[in-house]
Amino acid sequence: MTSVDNIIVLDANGNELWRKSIACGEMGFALHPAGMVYILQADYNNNGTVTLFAMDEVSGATKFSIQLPFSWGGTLQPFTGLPSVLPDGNLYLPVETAADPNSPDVLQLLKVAPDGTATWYPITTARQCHGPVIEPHEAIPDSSGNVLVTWDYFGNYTICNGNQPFVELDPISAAGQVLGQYQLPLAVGRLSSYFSDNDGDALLGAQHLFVAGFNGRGVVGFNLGTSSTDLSWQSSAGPLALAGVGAGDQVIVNQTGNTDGSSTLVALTPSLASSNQCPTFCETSGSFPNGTLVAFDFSGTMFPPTLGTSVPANQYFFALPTQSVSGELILGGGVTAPDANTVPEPDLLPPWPQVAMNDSRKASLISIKLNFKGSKTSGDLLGFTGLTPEGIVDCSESLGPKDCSGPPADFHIADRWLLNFEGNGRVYDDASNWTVTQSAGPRHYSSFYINIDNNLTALNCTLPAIPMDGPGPSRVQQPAGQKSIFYIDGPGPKTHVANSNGCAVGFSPIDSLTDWVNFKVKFTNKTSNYSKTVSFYVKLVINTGRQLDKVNSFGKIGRLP
Amino acid sequence: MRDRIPRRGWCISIFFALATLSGTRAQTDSAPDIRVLMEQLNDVRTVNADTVRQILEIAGKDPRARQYVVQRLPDLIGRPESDVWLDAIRLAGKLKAKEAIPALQQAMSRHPVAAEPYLTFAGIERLDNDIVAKALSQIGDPAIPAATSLLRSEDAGMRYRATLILRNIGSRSAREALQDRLPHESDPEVKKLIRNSLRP
Repeated sequence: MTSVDNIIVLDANGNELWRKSIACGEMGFALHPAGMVYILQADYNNNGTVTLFAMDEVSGATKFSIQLPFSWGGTLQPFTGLPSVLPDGNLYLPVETAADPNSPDVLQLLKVAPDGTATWYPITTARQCHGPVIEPHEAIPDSSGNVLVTWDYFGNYTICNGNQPFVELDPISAAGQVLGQYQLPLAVGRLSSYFSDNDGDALLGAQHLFVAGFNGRGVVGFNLGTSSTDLSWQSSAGPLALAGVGAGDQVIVNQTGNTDGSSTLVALTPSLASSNQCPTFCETSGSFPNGTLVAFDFSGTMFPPTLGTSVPANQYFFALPTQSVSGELILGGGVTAPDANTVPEPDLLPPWPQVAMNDSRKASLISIKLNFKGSKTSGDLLGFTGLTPEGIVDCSESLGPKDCSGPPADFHIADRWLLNFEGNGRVYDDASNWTVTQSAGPRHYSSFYINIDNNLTALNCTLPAIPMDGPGPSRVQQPAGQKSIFYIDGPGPKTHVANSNGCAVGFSPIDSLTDWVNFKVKFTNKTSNYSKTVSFYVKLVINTGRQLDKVNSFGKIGRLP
Repeated sequence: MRDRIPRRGWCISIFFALATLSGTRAQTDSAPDIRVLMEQLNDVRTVNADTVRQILEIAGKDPRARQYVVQRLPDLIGRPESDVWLDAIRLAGKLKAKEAIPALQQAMSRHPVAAEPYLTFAGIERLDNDIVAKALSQIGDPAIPAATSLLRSEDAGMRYRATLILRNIGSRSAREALQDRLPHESDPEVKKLIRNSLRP
């Protein structure tokens, strides 16, 4: 016997418009105001394939679908959280995967635009413990355009030493930058939601995110303004469920387990630093006068049917305005972001494999990424071009190999082939606490140049290494108060050499060239002396006729012999 | 006595003759070579890959050879830009030829020409893109008056280059010259560079 799950869409009169069904599977959904229904479906008859469908609200036609990646080389389904359409109009879905049993477990946030454009943002990694350990939960908006992602670590701590279950909240900017990682002090470090039982264990207040733990034994309130927990409450009786949030960020908790079978509504007020009345939190049980119930968590048996005032409608989550100022809904507070007053920065992680190799970045004081192509990172205000007192030294503001060749000894033309790159350090404390130093070389190049008699002449040179090769202050951006460090460079050879000595600059044009240089960049924390070094190299290939080979010219992490 | 005086005079004559011969021999060992090398250097068609290295080697060992070279550098530095011109400036810097300072100071009026075949942005601050300024910085303290004079130029770009010269000299006197300039500097970029250069 096979059970069938259905999502049925009705018109205003209750007539069925269409339905989506799955036998031996499960589904969750989220609604888009532009008339789209997102359905997240796990198909256990099909190897546990998990697919996100975007369907027309009226016709049920599939506009697009995205199959989520498998775990363990295709033998294990991904773990997903709840799909949520947030105020920016995008769908957000936390997704866990692990490439194979020995790889780190990876949590990413999938962002899907209404046109089907999908973007993956890495959130965190963890070492597996005889299987996946990350359980995604929910993506909830705050009022600053960020996304609050909750998840729990459920590794078996009796087997894997040092791994205790915990619940974590990670605020993510709209551009995918991880703004913080906060463990929530829940007694049992687990959450209980799954994408097909959309029971909302997290609720948003004006300034707090409230999260209920596994089996509803505890509630925490995370203050989005201070990035700290100022409410932590344990049920003294049976399991509890979040019922809603009232004015003043009172969270209403439905506590079951009374001897007569009834439940008690408890209103908890997080402590405020300015208030002496509630040094930890205020608890009011029983009636809740003048409260505005803004959200319910109908979580099955946790909400006793004896109350009879609610419909035991699982699969349901909603919110109503908590406060109204001129009719405007106020919901959620602002996450304390590192650069609250600046343009949101993209995630500054190193390339994904590097994150995976490091297993977890939670202990890392700095994440370093080197960008060798495309545009500079948003927020990087450094410039490659411009006339300097030393002449023009570059000809492009974009990254990658550039042909800036020209006549020799020309003040207004760089007369170089070069590769523009950008280094980007994301630090835990303050950008101004760090120093950036680069070393270069030795430089190797082989070339043909056209001598004074118009003959091609071969040369092979190795130029000595330069242990301290900047970057100079004008090529580094690390203002106090920010967490991003940028630096740029555009290394590359002049395009003319001396007629008698191809290893010296001169007036004879190079015809073709292969040139490679190893670099190291070191980020050092001035306070702790902690440092992290990344090796990379820049290779430039010039084909006969002074043609820059853009395919074989590149920068890359690693070293060349 | 008669015999002795002429004999003494003869002995003195012999001494001077030997001394002169010794000097001539020394010159015979190196000066002809240095002349040949400088002749090679004088023409882009005759100079070879080792010419500059050989000149430096010989001039480093023989003060007369060095003197021979540095006396000829100002003329070469005054010529139009070419490989010969570049080699002459390189020699001036590496030989720390204060005799070439006036010619180099004059050459600073030209646009900068690269000193090195490979450039990074940090290399700009090492004057890798400005061979004349780099030569002055290599000469060191004797070039400070020239650099200080350039620091008073009306052209902010020239003051920037002069600041880099003093920054690369890096001696106490060079820092003092920058310190003296700092309160008078009006260009923000030059002022910033001076400040950065004065950081410990």
